[in-house]
Amino acid sequence: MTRAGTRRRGRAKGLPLWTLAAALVVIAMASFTGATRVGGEVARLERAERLSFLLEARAYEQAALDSRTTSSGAPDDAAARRAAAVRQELTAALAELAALLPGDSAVTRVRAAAVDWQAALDTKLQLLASGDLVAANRVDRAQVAPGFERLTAALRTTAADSSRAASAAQGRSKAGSLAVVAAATLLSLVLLWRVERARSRQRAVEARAQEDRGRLVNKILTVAERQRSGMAAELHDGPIQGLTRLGLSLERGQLRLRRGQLEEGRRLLTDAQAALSGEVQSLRRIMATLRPPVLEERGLVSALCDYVEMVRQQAGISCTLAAKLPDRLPEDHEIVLYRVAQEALTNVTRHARASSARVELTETAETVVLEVHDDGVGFDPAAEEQQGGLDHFGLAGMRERVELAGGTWTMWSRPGAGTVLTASLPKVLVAA
Amino acid sequence: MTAAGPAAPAPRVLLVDDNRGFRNELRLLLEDCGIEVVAEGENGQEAVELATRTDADVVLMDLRMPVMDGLQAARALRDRVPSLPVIILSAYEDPALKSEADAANAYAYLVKGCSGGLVLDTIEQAWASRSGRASPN
Repeated sequence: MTRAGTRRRGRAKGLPLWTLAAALVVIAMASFTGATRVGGEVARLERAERLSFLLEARAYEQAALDSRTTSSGAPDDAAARRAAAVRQELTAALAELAALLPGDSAVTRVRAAAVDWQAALDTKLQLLASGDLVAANRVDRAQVAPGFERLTAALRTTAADSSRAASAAQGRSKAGSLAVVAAATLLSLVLLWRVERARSRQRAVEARAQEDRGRLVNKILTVAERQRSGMAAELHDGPIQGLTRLGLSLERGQLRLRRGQLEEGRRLLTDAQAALSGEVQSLRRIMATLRPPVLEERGLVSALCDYVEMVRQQAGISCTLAAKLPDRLPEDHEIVLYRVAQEALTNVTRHARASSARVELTETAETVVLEVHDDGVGFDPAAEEQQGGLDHFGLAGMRERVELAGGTWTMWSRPGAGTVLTASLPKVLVAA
Repeated sequence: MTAAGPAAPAPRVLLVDDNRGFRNELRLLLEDCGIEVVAEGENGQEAVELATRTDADVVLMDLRMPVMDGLQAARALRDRVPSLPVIILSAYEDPALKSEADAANAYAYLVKGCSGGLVLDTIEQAWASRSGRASPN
């Protein structure tokens, strides 16, 4: 009986490959966005740092211009114009710094210090312009110089803060990049592992298929070898023995004739002629067994009809055929069923000691079923199998033939109750 | 083909083959030629038993037989009755089988289908070799 080939086609465990690939894309996009954002932040902080340095430099420059104005004792127009330009530059830079770092307390302190310093500077310049050098000197010491110190100190603080913040942002960016690289590497490894596992499974499936093919080929070769062996045994036990015996008989006839025993010699020759006819018949039977012409020309039912008739005549038992098969089967299926019937009836005539046998060929919606019944002595299949005897009756070969054709083969037997062999093949009809 | 006269001494043959029809035909031919078939067996085991019980001069034996085949029987006879020549008469024309028969100390290996004359001559020669006299041929 065939075993149903129910190899489990399991679903792949874990996330599907496309999910992993999508995760990789998301990580890449997040990494790109994050890097862009952090890059912008760093650029802003670095600009703030540069502005802080610029403001400090301009503050020193303005302080120097103011000194030149006062040391000459008369207004220096060129220095005054440059001082006005520097003042505008300072104002614009302060506005840009405030825009870059909105709500930053250091920037607020810078702006306050700048305003105070500018105011003190204006007061000092007005006192100088009025000629009150003592008051101007007092304002310079009490307000301008400390204001300048506060401004430059506040600017240095802002520059240092911006530098630290930019470094911190770069550090965060680096850590984030490392995390992204690690995650991407991990996901890539998982992806590779999954792909390799899928390939490995595919290779295993292919290897199994190769093994199955190998087993099938071995089975076919075994069946063919067994058939050749059976044919050799049939030739040995039949025609070779018969013809050898015939040769001896002819030699006896020759001997009789040489001795002048004509009557006896003629009788031996006549017997030999009859024996020769018998051997020719025997060879024809073997030839028909190898490939019955009727099977190819008129199909399975006709071939079985002829074979059943031959069994009836030669074995002297009642043998009948009941066949309902309106169409022809594929050639290989017809041969398989014919061989099964042939082997089964050979067993009936050789071993079953039956008085009757019945061959039935029927069809269902999906199968064609051949049954061979006999009313012989039967046997215990389990006991016979334990002794390795089933093969002796050609049963293993029968089963292999049927299973190779995609069908099922069963046997029922009981001591004293005959035997029933059943072979079912999938129904594939061809036009008659 | 040798046809021994009724008064001439002739070898006594033990004939072993599982095919009864072939055995009968061969026995009739041997008897026609004056050779006595002292016993017949159907397998190698019977050959060994009959060889020790009868006074056969030569064993003429098939190769492929049930229970015990001809090669096994030839080996058993070589051990138990080494002086008794065994002629194998087989349907197989196979050098490997002939070598095995030689190794089992068979006197000759004949293939079925050979002439009756060759069988008779080989029996005569085997008998002559056993009794230590020259072959009549």
